[in-house]
Amino acid sequence: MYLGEPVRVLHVEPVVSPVPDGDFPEVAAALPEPRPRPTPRRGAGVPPARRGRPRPTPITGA
Amino acid sequence: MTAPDLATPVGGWRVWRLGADDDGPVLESPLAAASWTPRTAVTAVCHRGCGDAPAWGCSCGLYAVDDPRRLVGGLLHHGILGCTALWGRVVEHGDGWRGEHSYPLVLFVPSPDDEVLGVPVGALTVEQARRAVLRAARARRVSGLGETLGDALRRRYAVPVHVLPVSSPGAFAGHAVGALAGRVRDECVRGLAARRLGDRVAAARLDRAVDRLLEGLRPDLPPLPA
Repeated sequence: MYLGEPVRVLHVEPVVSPVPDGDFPEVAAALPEPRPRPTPRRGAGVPPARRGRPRPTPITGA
Repeated sequence: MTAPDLATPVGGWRVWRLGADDDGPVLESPLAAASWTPRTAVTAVCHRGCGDAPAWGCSCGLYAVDDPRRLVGGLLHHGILGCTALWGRVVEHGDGWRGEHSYPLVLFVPSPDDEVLGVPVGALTVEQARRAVLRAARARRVSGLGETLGDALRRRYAVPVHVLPVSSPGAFAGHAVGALAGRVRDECVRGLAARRLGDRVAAARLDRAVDRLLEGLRPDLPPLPA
Protein backbone atom coordinates (compact mmCIF):
# COMPACT_ATOMS: atom_id res chain seq x y z
CA MET A 1 0.00 0.00 0.00
CA TYR A 2 1.37 3.41 -0.94
CA LEU A 3 1.01 6.06 1.76
CA GLY A 4 2.66 8.93 -0.06
CA GLU A 5 6.04 10.43 0.66
CA PRO A 6 7.40 10.19 4.21
CA VAL A 7 7.12 13.50 6.02
CA ARG A 8 8.65 13.06 9.47
CA VAL A 9 9.37 10.57 12.21
CA LEU A 10 7.40 10.86 15.43
CA HIS A 11 8.29 9.42 18.80
CA VAL A 12 4.93 8.60 20.39
CA GLU A 13 4.64 7.59 24.05
CA PRO A 14 0.99 7.36 25.09
CA VAL A 15 0.27 8.26 28.70
CA VAL A 16 -2.38 5.53 28.77
CA SER A 17 -1.70 2.27 26.99
CA PRO A 18 -4.05 1.66 24.07
CA VAL A 19 -4.12 -2.04 25.04
CA PRO A 20 -7.01 -2.76 27.43
CA ASP A 21 -6.05 -4.70 30.51
CA GLY A 22 -9.42 -5.82 31.71
CA ASP A 23 -10.83 -2.37 32.40
CA PHE A 24 -13.20 -2.26 29.47
CA PRO A 25 -16.10 -1.96 28.82
CA GLU A 26 -18.00 -2.37 32.11
CA VAL A 27 -15.28 -2.16 34.75
CA ALA A 28 -13.33 1.02 35.21
CA ALA A 29 -9.60 0.98 35.75
CA ALA A 30 -8.60 0.35 39.35
CA LEU A 31 -7.41 3.53 41.01
CA PRO A 32 -5.07 3.39 44.04
CA GLU A 33 -6.66 3.70 47.47
CA PRO A 34 -6.51 7.25 48.85
CA ARG A 35 -3.78 7.76 51.44
CA PRO A 36 -5.04 8.11 55.02
CA ARG A 37 -5.26 11.63 56.31
CA PRO A 38 -2.94 12.50 59.21
CA THR A 39 -4.54 12.40 62.64
CA PRO A 40 -3.36 14.21 65.81
CA ARG A 41 -1.15 12.33 68.26
CA ARG A 42 -2.76 10.75 71.28
CA GLY A 43 -2.85 13.25 74.13
CA ALA A 44 -2.21 16.18 71.93
CA GLY A 45 -4.01 19.27 73.12
CA VAL A 46 -6.77 20.93 71.30
CA PRO A 47 -5.23 23.35 68.88
CA PRO A 48 -6.09 26.97 69.56
CA ALA A 49 -8.92 28.37 67.54
CA ARG A 50 -7.70 30.16 64.51
CA ARG A 51 -8.46 33.81 64.37
CA GLY A 52 -9.85 35.30 61.28
CA ARG A 53 -7.86 37.84 59.42
CA PRO A 54 -8.41 41.37 60.71
CA ARG A 55 -10.61 43.33 58.43
CA PRO A 56 -9.17 46.55 57.13
CA THR A 57 -10.82 49.67 58.41
CA PRO A 58 -12.77 51.31 55.65
CA ILE A 59 -11.27 54.57 54.62
CA THR A 60 -13.73 57.33 54.18
CA GLY A 61 -13.31 60.72 52.69
CA ALA A 62 -10.16 59.90 50.82
CA MET B 1 16.82 10.66 26.45
CA THR B 2 14.45 12.49 24.12
CA ALA B 3 11.05 13.92 24.92
CA PRO B 4 8.18 12.28 23.03
CA ASP B 5 6.51 14.22 20.24
CA LEU B 6 3.04 12.99 21.23
CA ALA B 7 1.54 11.71 24.49
CA THR B 8 -1.48 10.18 22.75
CA PRO B 9 -1.28 7.48 20.11
CA VAL B 10 -1.69 8.24 16.43
CA GLY B 11 -5.04 6.99 15.14
CA GLY B 12 -5.57 5.65 11.65
CA TRP B 13 -7.86 3.43 9.60
CA ARG B 14 -6.89 -0.01 8.41
CA VAL B 15 -8.39 -3.37 7.42
CA TRP B 16 -7.82 -6.77 8.96
CA ARG B 17 -8.43 -10.20 7.57
CA LEU B 18 -10.47 -12.54 9.73
CA GLY B 19 -8.57 -15.48 11.14
CA ALA B 20 -9.18 -17.77 14.08
CA ASP B 21 -7.43 -19.64 16.87
CA ASP B 22 -8.77 -22.06 19.49
CA ASP B 23 -10.61 -19.33 21.38
CA GLY B 24 -12.26 -17.43 18.56
CA PRO B 25 -11.67 -14.91 15.81
CA VAL B 26 -8.29 -13.22 15.38
CA LEU B 27 -7.39 -10.13 13.39
CA GLU B 28 -4.68 -10.75 10.82
CA SER B 29 -2.85 -8.61 8.34
CA PRO B 30 -4.31 -9.01 4.84
CA LEU B 31 -0.90 -8.59 3.22
CA ALA B 32 1.73 -9.91 5.64
CA ALA B 33 2.09 -12.87 7.96
CA ALA B 34 1.16 -11.00 11.11
CA SER B 35 -1.69 -11.32 13.55
CA TRP B 36 -3.03 -9.09 16.31
CA THR B 37 -3.12 -11.20 19.46
CA PRO B 38 -6.05 -10.12 21.68
CA ARG B 39 -5.08 -7.74 24.50
CA THR B 40 -1.48 -7.58 23.32
CA ALA B 41 0.20 -4.83 21.36
CA VAL B 42 1.59 -6.05 18.06
CA THR B 43 5.11 -4.88 17.24
CA ALA B 44 6.45 -4.34 13.74
CA VAL B 45 9.27 -6.53 12.46
CA CYS B 46 11.13 -5.84 9.23
CA HIS B 47 11.76 -8.90 7.10
CA ARG B 48 14.45 -7.03 5.18
CA GLY B 49 16.52 -6.61 8.30
CA CYS B 50 15.88 -3.01 9.34
CA GLY B 51 17.09 -2.51 12.85
CA ASP B 52 14.23 -0.43 14.12
CA ALA B 53 11.01 -0.83 12.17
CA PRO B 54 9.49 1.26 10.75
CA ALA B 55 12.54 2.68 9.02
CA TRP B 56 12.47 5.90 7.00
CA GLY B 57 13.67 4.40 3.73
CA CYS B 58 11.90 1.04 3.98
CA SER B 59 8.28 -0.08 3.63
CA CYS B 60 8.19 -1.95 6.94
CA GLY B 61 5.89 -1.14 9.84
CA LEU B 62 2.23 -1.38 10.75
CA TYR B 63 0.12 0.64 8.32
CA ALA B 64 -2.84 2.95 8.84
CA VAL B 65 -4.37 5.66 6.65
CA ASP B 66 -6.04 8.94 7.53
CA ASP B 67 -9.23 8.29 5.53
CA PRO B 68 -10.94 4.89 5.11
CA ARG B 69 -11.67 5.75 1.48
CA ARG B 70 -7.95 5.47 0.76
CA LEU B 71 -8.06 1.75 1.51
CA VAL B 72 -8.09 0.10 -1.86
CA GLY B 73 -11.04 -2.02 -2.86
CA GLY B 74 -9.33 -5.38 -2.78
CA LEU B 75 -8.56 -4.94 0.89
CA LEU B 76 -11.93 -3.54 1.85
CA HIS B 77 -14.09 -6.20 0.27
CA HIS B 78 -13.09 -9.03 2.54
CA GLY B 79 -11.91 -7.30 5.66
CA ILE B 80 -12.81 -6.05 9.09
CA LEU B 81 -12.50 -2.29 9.07
CA GLY B 82 -11.24 -0.46 12.13
CA CYS B 83 -9.42 2.43 13.65
CA THR B 84 -6.10 1.49 15.17
CA ALA B 85 -3.69 3.14 17.53
CA LEU B 86 -0.06 3.47 16.46
CA TRP B 87 2.69 4.38 18.86
CA GLY B 88 6.39 4.00 19.49
CA ARG B 89 8.35 5.03 16.42
CA VAL B 90 5.87 6.33 13.84
CA VAL B 91 6.76 7.45 10.31
CA GLU B 92 4.23 9.98 9.08
CA HIS B 93 3.44 9.96 5.35
CA GLY B 94 1.27 12.20 3.24
CA ASP B 95 -1.73 9.84 3.43
CA GLY B 96 -1.10 7.79 6.56
CA TRP B 97 1.40 6.37 8.98
CA ARG B 98 3.67 3.39 9.57
CA GLY B 99 3.98 2.53 13.25
CA GLU B 100 6.05 0.39 15.55
CA HIS B 101 3.19 -0.78 17.81
CA SER B 102 -0.49 -1.17 17.03
CA TYR B 103 -3.74 -2.14 18.72
CA PRO B 104 -7.32 -1.63 17.45
CA LEU B 105 -9.43 1.08 19.08
CA VAL B 106 -12.78 0.42 17.37
CA LEU B 107 -13.87 -2.23 14.87
CA PHE B 108 -16.59 -2.38 12.21
CA VAL B 109 -17.90 -5.69 10.92
CA PRO B 110 -19.99 -5.81 7.76
CA SER B 111 -23.66 -6.56 8.21
CA PRO B 112 -24.93 -9.14 8.69
CA ASP B 113 -22.37 -11.51 10.21
CA ASP B 114 -23.23 -14.13 7.65
CA GLU B 115 -21.85 -11.87 4.97
CA VAL B 116 -18.47 -11.99 6.70
CA LEU B 117 -18.65 -15.72 7.15
CA GLY B 118 -19.42 -15.99 3.46
CA VAL B 119 -16.31 -13.92 2.71
CA PRO B 120 -16.91 -12.33 -0.69
CA VAL B 121 -14.10 -13.46 -2.90
CA GLY B 122 -12.87 -10.03 -3.96
CA ALA B 123 -9.13 -10.18 -4.49
CA LEU B 124 -8.80 -13.58 -2.77
CA THR B 125 -8.30 -16.75 -4.68
CA VAL B 126 -11.02 -19.37 -4.33
CA GLU B 127 -8.81 -21.52 -2.13
CA GLN B 128 -7.96 -18.61 0.14
CA ALA B 129 -11.63 -17.72 0.44
CA ARG B 130 -12.52 -21.31 1.30
CA ARG B 131 -9.92 -21.43 4.04
CA ALA B 132 -11.14 -18.08 5.40
CA VAL B 133 -14.71 -19.38 5.56
CA LEU B 134 -13.58 -22.50 7.41
CA ARG B 135 -11.58 -20.45 9.89
CA ALA B 136 -14.46 -18.07 10.49
CA ALA B 137 -16.94 -20.93 10.93
CA ARG B 138 -14.60 -22.61 13.38
CA ALA B 139 -14.28 -19.40 15.33
CA ARG B 140 -18.04 -19.05 15.50
CA ARG B 141 -18.46 -22.58 16.78
CA VAL B 142 -15.90 -22.38 19.56
CA SER B 143 -16.90 -18.93 20.75
CA GLY B 144 -20.23 -20.09 22.15
CA LEU B 145 -23.75 -20.66 20.99
CA GLY B 146 -25.41 -17.59 19.64
CA GLU B 147 -22.33 -15.43 19.92
CA THR B 148 -22.03 -13.32 16.85
CA LEU B 149 -18.77 -12.41 15.26
CA GLY B 150 -19.09 -8.90 16.66
CA ASP B 151 -19.65 -10.23 20.19
CA ALA B 152 -16.66 -12.53 19.91
CA LEU B 153 -14.40 -9.73 18.71
CA ARG B 154 -15.64 -7.44 21.49
CA ARG B 155 -15.01 -10.12 24.12
CA ARG B 156 -11.52 -10.95 22.88
CA TYR B 157 -10.16 -7.52 21.97
CA ALA B 158 -12.13 -5.51 24.57
CA VAL B 159 -12.81 -2.67 22.14
CA PRO B 160 -16.15 -1.37 20.80
CA VAL B 161 -17.40 -3.34 17.78
CA HIS B 162 -20.06 -1.87 15.50
CA VAL B 163 -21.97 -3.36 12.62
CA LEU B 164 -21.79 -1.50 9.36
CA PRO B 165 -25.19 -0.89 7.74
CA VAL B 166 -23.76 -2.20 4.49
CA SER B 167 -22.54 -5.63 3.49
CA SER B 168 -19.03 -4.50 2.65
CA PRO B 169 -16.71 -1.84 4.05
CA GLY B 170 -16.10 -0.98 0.42
CA ALA B 171 -19.27 1.12 0.58
CA PHE B 172 -17.14 3.83 2.18
CA ALA B 173 -15.89 4.66 -1.26
CA GLY B 174 -19.36 5.59 -2.47
CA HIS B 175 -20.39 7.87 0.40
CA ALA B 176 -19.30 11.36 1.39
CA VAL B 177 -18.37 10.40 4.93
CA GLY B 178 -14.77 11.58 5.06
CA ALA B 179 -15.42 14.24 7.72
CA LEU B 180 -17.51 11.84 9.83
CA ALA B 181 -14.80 9.18 9.66
CA GLY B 182 -12.27 11.83 10.67
CA ARG B 183 -14.32 12.66 13.77
CA VAL B 184 -14.42 8.99 14.75
CA ARG B 185 -10.65 8.73 14.32
CA ASP B 186 -10.04 11.87 16.39
CA GLU B 187 -12.40 10.83 19.16
CA CYS B 188 -10.92 7.33 19.35
CA VAL B 189 -7.56 8.83 20.25
CA ARG B 190 -8.57 11.97 22.13
CA GLY B 191 -10.89 10.21 24.57
CA LEU B 192 -8.78 7.10 25.06
CA ALA B 193 -7.45 7.95 28.52
CA ALA B 194 -10.85 9.06 29.81
CA ARG B 195 -12.57 5.93 28.48
CA ARG B 196 -9.98 3.73 30.14
CA LEU B 197 -10.75 5.42 33.46
CA GLY B 198 -14.46 4.70 33.04
CA ASP B 199 -15.59 8.14 31.88
CA ARG B 200 -19.03 7.48 30.44
CA VAL B 201 -19.20 10.92 28.84
CA ALA B 202 -16.10 10.15 26.78
CA ALA B 203 -17.55 6.76 25.79
CA ALA B 204 -20.81 8.43 24.78
CA ARG B 205 -18.90 10.98 22.71
CA LEU B 206 -17.27 8.20 20.72
CA ASP B 207 -20.60 6.41 20.34
CA ARG B 208 -22.19 9.60 18.97
CA ALA B 209 -19.40 10.04 16.44
CA VAL B 210 -19.77 6.41 15.36
CA ASP B 211 -23.55 6.73 15.11
CA ARG B 212 -23.20 9.76 12.84
CA LEU B 213 -20.80 7.83 10.62
CA LEU B 214 -23.11 4.82 10.42
CA GLU B 215 -26.07 7.07 9.56
CA GLY B 216 -24.01 8.54 6.75
CA LEU B 217 -23.38 5.07 5.36
CA ARG B 218 -27.00 3.87 5.40
CA PRO B 219 -28.17 3.35 1.85
CA ASP B 220 -31.84 4.02 2.74
CA LEU B 221 -31.16 7.55 4.00
CA PRO B 222 -30.56 10.58 1.78
CA PRO B 223 -26.92 11.63 1.45
CA LEU B 224 -25.65 14.04 4.07
CA PRO B 225 -25.25 17.69 3.10
CA ALA B 226 -21.70 18.61 2.23
